[in-house]
Amino acid sequence: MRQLPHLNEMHENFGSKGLHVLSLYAQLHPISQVATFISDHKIKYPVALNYDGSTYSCSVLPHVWIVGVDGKIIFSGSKGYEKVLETELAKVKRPGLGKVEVAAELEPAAKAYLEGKYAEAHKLAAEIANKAEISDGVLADAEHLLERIDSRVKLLVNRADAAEVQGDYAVAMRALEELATDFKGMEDAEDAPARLAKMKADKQVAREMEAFMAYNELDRKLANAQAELSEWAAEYGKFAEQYKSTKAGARAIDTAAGFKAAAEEEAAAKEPMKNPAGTPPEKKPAENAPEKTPEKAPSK
Amino acid sequence: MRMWMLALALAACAQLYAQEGPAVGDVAPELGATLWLDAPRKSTLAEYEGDVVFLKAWGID
Repeated sequence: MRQLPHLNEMHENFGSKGLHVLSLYAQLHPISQVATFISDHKIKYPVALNYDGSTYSCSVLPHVWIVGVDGKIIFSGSKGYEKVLETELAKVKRPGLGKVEVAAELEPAAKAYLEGKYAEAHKLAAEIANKAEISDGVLADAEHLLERIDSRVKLLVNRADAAEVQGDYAVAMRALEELATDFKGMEDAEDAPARLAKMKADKQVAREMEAFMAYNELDRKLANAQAELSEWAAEYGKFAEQYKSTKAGARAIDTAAGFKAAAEEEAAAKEPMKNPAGTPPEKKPAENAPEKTPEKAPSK
Repeated sequence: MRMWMLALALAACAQLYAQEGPAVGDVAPELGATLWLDAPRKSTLAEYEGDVVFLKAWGID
């Protein structure tokens, strides 16, 4: 795992420069084991445990995708990404701002934005935008900044509301925490601290979050069991082929069919974990064949 | 026979060159993750517009 310290450095040193490291855990280990590994190796970047593995599929690990400033994939592979990454990072002049340059009048607002002082950035940009005589270019930059901040607040408020209704309290809390800290002073974020405190104090919320994690752990155990049944079906199938026309071969055909049916039955019986209140999860990734290929982690 | 073997070879090469996951040039699909260890502030790739995202699929084994 030579890459681990390297990725930590990228995550810590380049986050403010517009580079974001996100990792996708692609195997079926119990969550507790993954968490222990992450703690032992001091991994500092986010690790997604239930991503859409059918979309982000790979037959060999590790695999890297780089998403460029325009939201498109600019690299897909296991190595040789350094030059691509360096070139693309050079395009990011205003991390998080979505613009390479801003008018000189907006520099204080842009600086506050980059420092995460969004309420201050909003106030400064609004003051510029409301001036009587400003150029179209300056107005456009001011409006861009205001729109960026307003959109983020709106997204977070909507996310917190929807997640709370659905009982996805981890998501709701993250949104409220960001509103309460980064957007403190803005009208739409005013009630975030109180909502967050209430949610944290609610025992039923704590229970729901505990249950959600435990269910996901159970999901992974089931996915492991399904994988084993399919492997045994394949093994007996190979045996049957090898010893065709023998009594043992015939028995192996029945045994393979039994394992296959059991694997299919388990897959059909699996009740997908919904974010409580009903959002169905995405389907599981197809299992990969392997050579150095690990079993894939389930999608949610 | 030659054509048949050529077709077989091409099919094998197609496997080797088959793109994994989203391809270069595609709009990056959303990750769809709701369960994170050390969750990021921004949950969707769309929120990182204008910045660069380094995605790495990995495992312990």
